[in-house]
Amino acid sequence: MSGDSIPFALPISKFAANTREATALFEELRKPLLRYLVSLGLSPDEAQDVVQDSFLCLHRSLTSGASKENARAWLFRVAHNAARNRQRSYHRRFAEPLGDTALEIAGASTPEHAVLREEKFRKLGAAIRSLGDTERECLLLRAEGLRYREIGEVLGLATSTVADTVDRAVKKLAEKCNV
Amino acid sequence: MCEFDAKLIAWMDGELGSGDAREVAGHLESCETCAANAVGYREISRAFAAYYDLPPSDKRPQRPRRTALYAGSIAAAAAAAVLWMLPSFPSTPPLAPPKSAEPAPALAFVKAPPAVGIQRTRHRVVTRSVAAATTRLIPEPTVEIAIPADEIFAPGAFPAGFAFAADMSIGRDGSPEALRVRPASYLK
Repeated sequence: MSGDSIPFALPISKFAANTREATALFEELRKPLLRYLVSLGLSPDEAQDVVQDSFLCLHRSLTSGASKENARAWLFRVAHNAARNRQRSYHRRFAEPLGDTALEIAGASTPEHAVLREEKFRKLGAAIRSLGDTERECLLLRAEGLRYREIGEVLGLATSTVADTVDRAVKKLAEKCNV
Repeated sequence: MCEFDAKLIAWMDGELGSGDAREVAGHLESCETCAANAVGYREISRAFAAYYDLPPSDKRPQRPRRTALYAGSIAAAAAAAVLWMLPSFPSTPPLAPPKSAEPAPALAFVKAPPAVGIQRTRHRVVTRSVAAATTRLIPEPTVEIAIPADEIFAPGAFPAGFAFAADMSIGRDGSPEALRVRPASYLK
Protein backbone atom coordinates (compact mmCIF):
# COMPACT_ATOMS: atom_id res chain seq x y z
CA MET A 1 0.00 0.00 0.00
CA SER A 2 1.21 3.49 -0.61
CA GLY A 3 1.87 5.87 2.25
CA ASP A 4 -1.22 7.85 1.26
CA SER A 5 -3.46 5.30 2.88
CA ILE A 6 -2.00 5.69 6.36
CA PRO A 7 -4.34 8.47 7.57
CA PHE A 8 -7.36 6.22 7.39
CA ALA A 9 -5.58 2.92 7.97
CA LEU A 10 -5.83 3.26 11.74
CA PRO A 11 -9.57 3.78 12.12
CA ILE A 12 -10.13 1.14 9.49
CA SER A 13 -8.09 -1.46 11.33
CA LYS A 14 -10.14 -0.71 14.43
CA PHE A 15 -13.28 -1.05 12.35
CA ALA A 16 -12.08 -4.41 11.08
CA ALA A 17 -11.32 -5.56 14.63
CA ASN A 18 -14.86 -4.63 15.66
CA THR A 19 -16.19 -6.51 12.66
CA ARG A 20 -14.19 -9.60 13.67
CA GLU A 21 -15.45 -9.28 17.23
CA ALA A 22 -19.04 -8.97 16.06
CA THR A 23 -18.56 -11.91 13.69
CA ALA A 24 -17.21 -14.14 16.46
CA LEU A 25 -20.15 -13.21 18.67
CA PHE A 26 -22.51 -13.87 15.79
CA GLU A 27 -21.10 -17.39 15.37
CA GLU A 28 -21.41 -18.07 19.06
CA LEU A 29 -24.75 -16.50 19.88
CA ARG A 30 -26.88 -16.62 16.75
CA LYS A 31 -28.52 -19.94 17.57
CA PRO A 32 -29.07 -19.33 21.30
CA LEU A 33 -30.64 -15.96 20.46
CA LEU A 34 -32.88 -17.47 17.80
CA ARG A 35 -33.96 -20.21 20.18
CA TYR A 36 -34.67 -17.72 22.93
CA LEU A 37 -36.74 -15.50 20.63
CA VAL A 38 -38.73 -18.42 19.24
CA SER A 39 -39.32 -19.54 22.83
CA LEU A 40 -40.67 -16.07 23.57
CA GLY A 41 -43.19 -16.60 20.80
CA LEU A 42 -41.68 -15.01 17.71
CA SER A 43 -42.01 -16.80 14.40
CA PRO A 44 -38.70 -18.07 12.96
CA ASP A 45 -38.76 -15.25 10.40
CA GLU A 46 -39.42 -12.61 13.04
CA ALA A 47 -36.66 -14.10 15.17
CA GLN A 48 -34.20 -13.94 12.24
CA ASP A 49 -35.10 -10.27 11.75
CA VAL A 50 -34.60 -9.46 15.41
CA VAL A 51 -31.27 -11.31 15.56
CA GLN A 52 -29.96 -9.51 12.47
CA ASP A 53 -31.08 -6.16 13.84
CA SER A 54 -29.47 -6.93 17.20
CA PHE A 55 -26.12 -7.73 15.60
CA LEU A 56 -26.26 -4.65 13.39
CA CYS A 57 -26.95 -2.68 16.54
CA LEU A 58 -23.96 -4.33 18.25
CA HIS A 59 -21.69 -3.63 15.29
CA ARG A 60 -22.75 0.00 15.17
CA SER A 61 -22.29 0.31 18.89
CA LEU A 62 -18.80 -1.24 18.83
CA THR A 63 -17.84 0.98 15.92
CA SER A 64 -18.94 4.12 17.70
CA GLY A 65 -16.46 3.21 20.44
CA ALA A 66 -18.91 1.93 23.03
CA SER A 67 -17.39 -0.58 25.41
CA LYS A 68 -19.15 -3.90 25.43
CA GLU A 69 -17.72 -5.72 28.36
CA ASN A 70 -20.55 -8.16 28.47
CA ALA A 71 -21.79 -8.40 24.91
CA ARG A 72 -23.68 -11.61 25.59
CA ALA A 73 -26.04 -10.06 28.15
CA TRP A 74 -26.21 -6.92 26.02
CA LEU A 75 -27.31 -8.85 22.92
CA PHE A 76 -29.89 -10.84 24.83
CA ARG A 77 -31.26 -7.59 26.29
CA VAL A 78 -31.57 -5.92 22.89
CA ALA A 79 -33.23 -9.03 21.46
CA HIS A 80 -35.46 -9.44 24.50
CA ASN A 81 -36.70 -5.86 24.28
CA ALA A 82 -37.34 -6.23 20.56
CA ALA A 83 -39.36 -9.37 21.25
CA ARG A 84 -41.38 -7.69 23.98
CA ASN A 85 -42.15 -4.89 21.55
CA ARG A 86 -43.82 -7.44 19.32
CA GLN A 87 -46.50 -7.89 21.92
CA ARG A 88 -48.89 -9.72 19.68
CA SER A 89 -46.49 -12.56 18.98
CA TYR A 90 -45.40 -12.68 22.58
CA HIS A 91 -48.90 -13.13 23.92
CA ARG A 92 -49.99 -15.39 21.11
CA ARG A 93 -47.28 -17.84 22.06
CA PHE A 94 -48.30 -18.17 25.66
CA ALA A 95 -51.99 -18.25 24.92
CA GLU A 96 -51.59 -21.64 23.23
CA PRO A 97 -49.91 -24.87 24.20
CA LEU A 98 -47.34 -26.34 21.81
CA GLY A 99 -49.01 -27.99 18.84
CA ASP A 100 -48.87 -31.73 18.20
CA THR A 101 -46.27 -31.26 15.49
CA ALA A 102 -43.98 -29.45 17.86
CA LEU A 103 -44.42 -32.21 20.40
CA GLU A 104 -43.55 -34.83 17.81
CA ILE A 105 -40.45 -32.92 16.78
CA ALA A 106 -39.51 -32.49 20.41
CA GLY A 107 -39.96 -36.18 21.07
CA ALA A 108 -37.93 -37.32 18.11
CA SER A 109 -35.05 -34.92 17.67
CA THR A 110 -32.55 -35.98 20.35
CA PRO A 111 -32.04 -38.84 22.80
CA GLU A 112 -32.92 -36.50 25.69
CA HIS A 113 -36.20 -35.73 24.00
CA ALA A 114 -36.92 -39.37 23.32
CA VAL A 115 -36.94 -40.19 27.02
CA LEU A 116 -39.49 -37.48 27.69
CA ARG A 117 -42.71 -39.24 27.04
CA GLU A 118 -45.44 -37.22 25.50
CA GLU A 119 -47.61 -37.31 28.59
CA LYS A 120 -44.79 -35.92 30.67
CA PHE A 121 -44.25 -33.25 28.05
CA ARG A 122 -47.85 -32.12 28.17
CA LYS A 123 -47.73 -31.94 31.93
CA LEU A 124 -44.56 -29.91 31.75
CA GLY A 125 -46.13 -27.61 29.15
CA ALA A 126 -49.07 -26.92 31.44
CA ALA A 127 -46.71 -26.24 34.34
CA ILE A 128 -44.62 -23.85 32.22
CA ARG A 129 -47.71 -21.95 31.16
CA SER A 130 -48.68 -21.50 34.77
CA LEU A 131 -45.44 -19.62 35.47
CA GLY A 132 -45.33 -15.84 35.45
CA ASP A 133 -43.63 -14.10 32.51
CA THR A 134 -40.58 -13.19 34.56
CA GLU A 135 -40.23 -16.68 35.96
CA ARG A 136 -40.39 -18.19 32.50
CA GLU A 137 -37.93 -15.68 31.06
CA CYS A 138 -35.48 -16.30 33.89
CA LEU A 139 -35.60 -20.04 33.23
CA LEU A 140 -35.23 -19.57 29.47
CA LEU A 141 -32.15 -17.38 29.88
CA ARG A 142 -30.76 -19.77 32.48
CA ALA A 143 -31.26 -22.65 30.03
CA GLU A 144 -29.23 -20.66 27.49
CA GLY A 145 -26.37 -20.63 29.98
CA LEU A 146 -26.60 -17.05 31.23
CA ARG A 147 -25.39 -16.31 34.76
CA TYR A 148 -27.84 -14.82 37.26
CA ARG A 149 -26.04 -11.48 36.97
CA GLU A 150 -26.46 -11.53 33.17
CA ILE A 151 -30.12 -12.52 33.45
CA GLY A 152 -30.55 -9.54 35.76
CA GLU A 153 -28.99 -7.28 33.12
CA VAL A 154 -31.30 -8.62 30.42
CA LEU A 155 -34.49 -8.34 32.43
CA GLY A 156 -33.58 -5.31 34.53
CA LEU A 157 -33.64 -7.19 37.83
CA ALA A 158 -31.28 -7.38 40.79
CA THR A 159 -29.15 -10.54 40.88
CA SER A 160 -30.75 -11.56 44.18
CA THR A 161 -34.20 -11.20 42.62
CA VAL A 162 -33.12 -13.46 39.77
CA ALA A 163 -31.88 -16.06 42.26
CA ASP A 164 -35.19 -15.98 44.13
CA THR A 165 -37.21 -16.12 40.90
CA VAL A 166 -35.24 -19.07 39.47
CA ASP A 167 -35.52 -20.91 42.78
CA ARG A 168 -39.27 -20.35 42.96
CA ALA A 169 -39.87 -21.25 39.31
CA VAL A 170 -37.87 -24.50 39.36
CA LYS A 171 -39.65 -25.60 42.51
CA LYS A 172 -43.05 -24.81 41.00
CA LEU A 173 -42.25 -26.92 37.94
CA ALA A 174 -40.87 -29.75 40.06
CA GLU A 175 -43.96 -29.74 42.22
CA LYS A 176 -46.43 -29.70 39.32
CA CYS A 177 -44.60 -32.43 37.46
CA ASN A 178 -44.14 -34.54 40.59
CA VAL A 179 -40.44 -34.79 40.00
CA MET B 1 -38.19 -28.64 54.87
CA CYS B 2 -34.42 -28.62 55.23
CA GLU B 3 -32.86 -25.15 55.40
CA PHE B 4 -30.41 -26.10 52.65
CA ASP B 5 -33.24 -26.59 50.17
CA ALA B 6 -33.24 -22.84 49.52
CA LYS B 7 -29.63 -23.00 48.32
CA LEU B 8 -29.73 -26.14 46.18
CA ILE B 9 -30.68 -24.53 42.86
CA ALA B 10 -28.21 -21.67 43.19
CA TRP B 11 -25.61 -24.28 44.14
CA MET B 12 -26.22 -26.43 41.04
CA ASP B 13 -26.08 -23.27 38.91
CA GLY B 14 -22.66 -22.46 40.35
CA GLU B 15 -23.97 -19.20 41.78
CA LEU B 16 -22.92 -19.65 45.41
CA GLY B 17 -19.72 -18.33 46.93
CA SER B 18 -17.02 -20.96 47.54
CA GLY B 19 -17.77 -21.18 51.29
CA ASP B 20 -21.51 -21.71 50.78
CA ALA B 21 -20.90 -24.13 47.94
CA ARG B 22 -18.62 -26.30 50.10
CA GLU B 23 -21.21 -26.28 52.84
CA VAL B 24 -23.99 -27.43 50.50
CA ALA B 25 -21.80 -30.12 48.94
CA GLY B 26 -20.93 -31.42 52.39
CA HIS B 27 -24.57 -31.38 53.44
CA LEU B 28 -25.67 -33.33 50.37
CA GLU B 29 -23.49 -36.24 51.41
CA SER B 30 -25.42 -36.65 54.63
CA CYS B 31 -28.97 -35.53 53.75
CA GLU B 32 -30.89 -37.91 51.55
CA THR B 33 -33.86 -35.56 51.14
CA CYS B 34 -31.73 -32.75 49.80
CA ALA B 35 -29.79 -35.12 47.54
CA ALA B 36 -33.04 -36.41 46.06
CA ASN B 37 -34.39 -32.86 45.67
CA ALA B 38 -31.21 -31.77 43.94
CA VAL B 39 -31.58 -34.59 41.42
CA GLY B 40 -35.21 -33.60 40.87
CA TYR B 41 -34.35 -29.93 40.31
CA ARG B 42 -31.67 -30.87 37.85
CA GLU B 43 -34.03 -33.19 36.02
CA ILE B 44 -36.81 -30.62 35.72
CA SER B 45 -34.29 -27.99 34.57
CA ARG B 46 -33.14 -30.31 31.79
CA ALA B 47 -36.73 -31.11 30.87
CA PHE B 48 -37.48 -27.37 30.68
CA ALA B 49 -34.53 -26.82 28.32
CA ALA B 50 -35.56 -29.81 26.22
CA TYR B 51 -39.11 -28.48 26.01
CA TYR B 52 -37.88 -25.33 24.29
CA ASP B 53 -35.02 -26.87 22.36
CA LEU B 54 -36.97 -27.08 19.13
CA PRO B 55 -34.82 -26.74 16.03
CA PRO B 56 -35.34 -23.19 14.74
CA SER B 57 -36.04 -22.77 11.05
CA ASP B 58 -32.93 -21.88 9.11
CA LYS B 59 -34.82 -19.99 6.46
CA ARG B 60 -33.14 -16.73 5.63
CA PRO B 61 -35.23 -13.67 4.88
CA GLN B 62 -34.79 -12.53 1.27
CA ARG B 63 -36.30 -9.11 1.11
CA PRO B 64 -35.00 -6.49 -1.30
CA ARG B 65 -35.82 -3.68 1.13
CA ARG B 66 -33.70 -5.18 3.86
CA THR B 67 -30.96 -6.06 1.41
CA ALA B 68 -30.51 -2.45 0.44
CA LEU B 69 -30.37 -1.43 4.08
CA TYR B 70 -27.72 -3.99 4.98
CA ALA B 71 -25.71 -3.27 1.88
CA GLY B 72 -25.47 0.36 2.85
CA SER B 73 -24.71 -0.16 6.48
CA ILE B 74 -22.02 -2.76 6.05
CA ALA B 75 -20.40 -1.68 2.81
CA ALA B 76 -17.91 0.35 4.83
CA ALA B 77 -17.25 -2.65 7.07
CA ALA B 78 -16.54 -4.73 3.98
CA ALA B 79 -14.08 -2.14 2.78
CA ALA B 80 -12.38 -2.28 6.14
CA ALA B 81 -12.31 -6.06 6.23
CA VAL B 82 -10.89 -6.37 2.74
CA LEU B 83 -8.30 -3.65 3.26
CA TRP B 84 -7.34 -5.31 6.50
CA MET B 85 -6.72 -8.66 4.85
CA LEU B 86 -4.72 -7.20 1.97
CA PRO B 87 -1.22 -7.93 3.34
CA SER B 88 -1.86 -11.65 3.12
CA PHE B 89 -3.72 -11.44 -0.17
CA PRO B 90 -4.62 -13.74 -1.88
CA SER B 91 -4.89 -16.13 1.03
CA THR B 92 -8.23 -17.05 2.60
CA PRO B 93 -10.00 -14.19 4.36
CA PRO B 94 -9.24 -14.28 8.09
CA LEU B 95 -12.85 -14.05 9.16
CA ALA B 96 -14.99 -17.09 9.84
CA PRO B 97 -15.16 -19.35 6.78
CA PRO B 98 -18.58 -19.89 5.26
CA LYS B 99 -20.34 -23.03 6.33
CA SER B 100 -23.04 -23.08 3.71
CA ALA B 101 -23.78 -26.30 1.93
CA GLU B 102 -23.03 -24.87 -1.48
CA PRO B 103 -19.38 -24.32 -2.29
CA ALA B 104 -18.63 -20.61 -2.17
CA PRO B 105 -17.69 -19.13 -5.54
CA ALA B 106 -13.96 -18.59 -5.86
CA LEU B 107 -12.63 -15.08 -6.22
CA ALA B 108 -13.45 -14.23 -9.79
CA PHE B 109 -11.45 -11.81 -11.90
CA VAL B 110 -13.68 -9.96 -14.26
CA LYS B 111 -13.51 -6.77 -16.25
CA ALA B 112 -14.27 -3.71 -14.16
CA PRO B 113 -17.60 -2.05 -14.92
CA PRO B 114 -18.24 1.50 -13.73
CA ALA B 115 -18.77 1.74 -9.99
CA VAL B 116 -22.39 1.67 -8.93
CA GLY B 117 -23.38 3.30 -5.65
CA ILE B 118 -26.13 2.07 -3.42
CA GLN B 119 -28.96 4.57 -3.31
CA ARG B 120 -31.60 5.29 -0.70
CA THR B 121 -29.90 3.86 2.34
CA ARG B 122 -29.78 5.36 5.77
CA HIS B 123 -26.05 4.85 5.95
CA ARG B 124 -25.12 6.54 2.71
CA VAL B 125 -22.86 9.02 4.48
CA VAL B 126 -20.56 6.33 5.81
CA THR B 127 -20.49 4.49 2.51
CA ARG B 128 -19.65 7.60 0.57
CA SER B 129 -16.99 8.88 2.91
CA VAL B 130 -15.02 5.65 2.53
CA ALA B 131 -15.63 5.56 -1.19
CA ALA B 132 -14.59 9.18 -1.56
CA ALA B 133 -11.43 8.65 0.47
CA THR B 134 -10.39 5.67 -1.57
CA THR B 135 -11.34 7.18 -4.91
CA ARG B 136 -8.93 10.01 -4.24
CA LEU B 137 -6.10 7.50 -4.00
CA ILE B 138 -7.04 5.26 -6.86
CA PRO B 139 -6.39 6.53 -10.38
CA GLU B 140 -7.98 3.73 -12.39
CA PRO B 141 -9.14 0.36 -11.19
CA THR B 142 -7.64 -2.35 -13.32
CA VAL B 143 -9.05 -5.51 -11.77
CA GLU B 144 -12.40 -6.16 -10.18
CA ILE B 145 -12.79 -8.94 -7.66
CA ALA B 146 -16.22 -10.21 -6.75
CA ILE B 147 -16.32 -11.25 -3.09
CA PRO B 148 -19.31 -13.24 -1.85
CA ALA B 149 -20.62 -11.69 1.35
CA ASP B 150 -20.30 -15.07 3.07
CA GLU B 151 -16.53 -14.91 2.55
CA ILE B 152 -16.17 -11.95 4.87
CA PHE B 153 -19.21 -12.16 7.06
CA ALA B 154 -20.78 -14.98 9.01
CA PRO B 155 -23.20 -17.12 7.03
CA GLY B 156 -26.64 -15.67 7.34
CA ALA B 157 -25.50 -12.09 7.88
CA PHE B 158 -26.52 -11.37 4.30
CA PRO B 159 -29.13 -12.89 2.06
CA ALA B 160 -27.70 -15.76 0.02
CA GLY B 161 -25.88 -14.59 -3.09
CA PHE B 162 -25.06 -11.09 -1.93
CA ALA B 163 -21.59 -9.92 -2.95
CA PHE B 164 -19.17 -7.06 -2.74
CA ALA B 165 -16.90 -6.00 -5.55
CA ALA B 166 -13.36 -4.80 -5.04
CA ASP B 167 -11.59 -2.70 -7.66
CA MET B 168 -7.84 -2.78 -7.34
CA SER B 169 -4.65 -1.81 -9.07
CA ILE B 170 -1.65 -4.09 -9.27
CA GLY B 171 1.80 -2.58 -8.81
CA ARG B 172 4.87 -3.39 -10.89
CA ASP B 173 6.04 -5.92 -8.33
CA GLY B 174 2.67 -7.64 -8.45
CA SER B 175 1.45 -6.40 -5.10
CA PRO B 176 -1.97 -4.78 -4.80
CA GLU B 177 -1.53 -1.02 -4.63
CA ALA B 178 -4.98 0.36 -4.22
CA LEU B 179 -8.36 -1.00 -3.48
CA ARG B 180 -11.93 0.19 -3.57
CA VAL B 181 -14.80 -1.90 -2.29
CA ARG B 182 -18.40 -1.39 -3.19
CA PRO B 183 -21.57 -3.43 -2.88
CA ALA B 184 -22.25 -5.42 -6.01
CA SER B 185 -25.36 -7.14 -7.21
CA TYR B 186 -26.30 -10.70 -6.43
CA LEU B 187 -24.02 -13.45 -7.67
CA LYS B 188 -25.90 -15.73 -9.96
